[in-house]
Amino acid sequence: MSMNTLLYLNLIIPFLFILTLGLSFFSGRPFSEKNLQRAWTVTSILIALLGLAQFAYFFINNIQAQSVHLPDWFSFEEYHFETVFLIDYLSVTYGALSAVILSVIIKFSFNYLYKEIGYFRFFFLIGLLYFGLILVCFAGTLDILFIGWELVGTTSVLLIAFFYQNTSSVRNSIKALIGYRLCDMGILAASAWAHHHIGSTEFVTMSQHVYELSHEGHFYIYIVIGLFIIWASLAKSAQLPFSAWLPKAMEGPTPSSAVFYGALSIHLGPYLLLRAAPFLEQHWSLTLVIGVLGGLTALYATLVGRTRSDAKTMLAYATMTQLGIIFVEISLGFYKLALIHMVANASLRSWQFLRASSLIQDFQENPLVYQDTVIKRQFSIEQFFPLKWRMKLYIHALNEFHLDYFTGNFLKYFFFYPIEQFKKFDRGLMRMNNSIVSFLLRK
Amino acid sequence: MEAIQKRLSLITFSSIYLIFFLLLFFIIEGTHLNISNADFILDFDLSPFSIFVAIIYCLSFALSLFPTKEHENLRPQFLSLFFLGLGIIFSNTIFTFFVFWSFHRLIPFIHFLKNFDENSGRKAGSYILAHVVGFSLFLYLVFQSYEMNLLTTSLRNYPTTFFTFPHLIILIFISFMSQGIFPLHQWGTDLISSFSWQEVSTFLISRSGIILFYKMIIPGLSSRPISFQLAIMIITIISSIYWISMAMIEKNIHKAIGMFYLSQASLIITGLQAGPVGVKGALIQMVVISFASTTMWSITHYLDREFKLNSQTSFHGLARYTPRLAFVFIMMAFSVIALPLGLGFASEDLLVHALLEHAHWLGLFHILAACLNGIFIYQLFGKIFLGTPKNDIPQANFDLPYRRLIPYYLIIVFFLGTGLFPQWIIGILP
Repeated sequence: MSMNTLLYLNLIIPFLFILTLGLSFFSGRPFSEKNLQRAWTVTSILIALLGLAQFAYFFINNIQAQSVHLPDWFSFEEYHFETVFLIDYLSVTYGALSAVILSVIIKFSFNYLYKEIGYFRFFFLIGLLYFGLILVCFAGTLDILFIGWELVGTTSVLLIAFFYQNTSSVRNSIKALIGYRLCDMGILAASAWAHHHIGSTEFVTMSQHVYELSHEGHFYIYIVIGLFIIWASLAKSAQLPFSAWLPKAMEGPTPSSAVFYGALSIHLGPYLLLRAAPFLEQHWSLTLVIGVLGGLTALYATLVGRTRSDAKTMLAYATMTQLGIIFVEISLGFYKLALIHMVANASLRSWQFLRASSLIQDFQENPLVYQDTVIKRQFSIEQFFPLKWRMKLYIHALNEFHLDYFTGNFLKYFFFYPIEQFKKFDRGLMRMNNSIVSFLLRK
Repeated sequence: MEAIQKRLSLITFSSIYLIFFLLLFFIIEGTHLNISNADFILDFDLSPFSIFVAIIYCLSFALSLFPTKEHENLRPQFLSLFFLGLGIIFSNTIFTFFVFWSFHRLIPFIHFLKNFDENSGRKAGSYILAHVVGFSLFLYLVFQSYEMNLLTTSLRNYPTTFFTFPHLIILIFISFMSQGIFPLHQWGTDLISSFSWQEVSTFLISRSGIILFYKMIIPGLSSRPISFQLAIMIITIISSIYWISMAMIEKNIHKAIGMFYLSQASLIITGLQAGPVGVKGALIQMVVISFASTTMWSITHYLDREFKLNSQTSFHGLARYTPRLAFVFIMMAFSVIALPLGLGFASEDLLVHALLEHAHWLGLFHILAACLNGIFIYQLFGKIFLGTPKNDIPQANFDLPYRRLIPYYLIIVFFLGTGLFPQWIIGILP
């Protein structure tokens, strides 16, 4: 069995699975809970084995990175939507990580969500998420990556609104959607510019063309495409200035929080940077942007996270902090370290998210057993600050450094306020039209 | 009264289906149909493009009206508006277009004129003014065509001598006004707030502005400098962003969907100017938006009847009572906002790339418009179907039965099927 066959299986199995689930829903007879569990057990074991087999096969045989070119998805005249997949150390590692973590979370969710309204919906969306993740992992072009990226984002939004009768969940899902659409804009713009100026969105080709762009005096195009890619990854990984949506996204069920905001979806930002690293690393300004924003986010998230009182939000900020550090690692060129950091962080966070709710319950039932391990006072750099400073810093962190307030007002004054003014202007015009017609029709 | 209503529905439906199958028959070859005598000339164009638009027009009504047919009060004027819309689509000469265009707009014009009352607050001055100005300008163009002996010339074959600067500006004015492009848009709000969704759809889906633009203006634009063409594209993109921004803050759900439709229509006009790739993208977008918007409109109208749903200022939580309709709605919404594996994705992709060929920043504004469309449509879905239901909602299942949902499901299957294999639809479009 070759790497290509494993790749095809990795793509086809989740696709056929979600297709089956979708058809069962369409026919008006969705899978019962037991049948769904059986089907998912078989599929999750299969995808986990496939992911691990691909990972092992790649590293044991020391296979070189290879592109798999398939026929264009669609084309018209000079435009072609290329279907290219890339198999390299990055894709097989993240693919294996996704398969294993997802299998664990699916097993956990069988009991956690049992008898919950929306049981079928949850597992269908998780299937769609996996398909999206696999597309992102093995994408050889920005176009293919965008498809997976969108699927992951959409499932994430729908799972935040999983408890759809809770209005705050829905509100937060809309906020998360705004964040996701912003990052989609970045990736779509990068893809379109790359198509137009480089003639391809294939990662390998893109990095080869940077020299030509700079030679022809179009260096700014390279910088713009690079900034779009960074923009997309910042928004996906909730880095500054797009960090506000992450704490609000914790409304979904715990397994979905684990898989999206602890493990897989949130790490797609650095994954994209690693994938585009050969392209981005060719000018210091882009790596500097990544490093500075990552560093600032790490600092911001660690301070704010210390002031939160609920477990899931604390974990969200902890993830954000680690992601900031991963961004710094990428900017410094430590790609393998960043990948290992991503794998370790994703594994740890998904375990912490899954354990958080039961740990709180355990602690409430047996406080004496856990008090030494859970609330053990640890070394903190804060101890070295004077109390007055500490208090001020704490208040600022509690207010999230007014960043939410700032972004909220930014939207209010730069988007909604002009629209409201436009609407007033519109009403004024209408009134004027009505007056003219009244005047003409007067008896 | 009920018997008349039923008979009227039956006639309407039979007509729509009959025309649909006739069009399928005609699609085999493009031909011209002339109805002429010494006094007047009506010339119809049965080219693949017109047949394509007409099929979408008929199919959108056939599919979106069927599930909620029993709940609709189709008024006699709907049938007239429907046929006049068809006439616009098939017009081949400026005179034919003018006749159908002015009669189509005359029905609401008379309605508004009769009900124009300063005291009752039911005014539609914008529509009345737009119609009078548009009609006068169009009449002027018809006379000009008559003087140049072009009355029997096909819209596509107008000589470049006709497209003087004032003529071109007037044509663009009429086209943009017919399609509700900013800043000639206000009549749209009047129409949406006073007529039923299916009657308004005859204006929106017959696409008189787009048809005039495609058949007549685009050939005329080719002789103009590129900066002029860019200016027109900028106006249409601004119009799209304007409409979708307005839809986001609009309180009335029906108006918001109408605005969303007008935003998409603006994007279609932008695409039509962006070369062959843009035209292909615009045509696919036309298919998507026609089916999706009429479906979404018919669903919200049905829910309005059952739940008195007309405001999007708060959450209604209707998914609890109508899960199937919620599913249909979200699938339509995702198809329109270019979610991958839906047909909208292919059209959006083609449109963005075609626009980038013309100007980089224009493509970026298009992406912004698409992004806002996505946010709006999910927000609308959330407001209608998600959240905590209000206490005054009757505790019962108001979902339509499966047999009535078949047309909606057919559209979803079509969107997903063509979304997976877009090359098929790219190949068959004219």
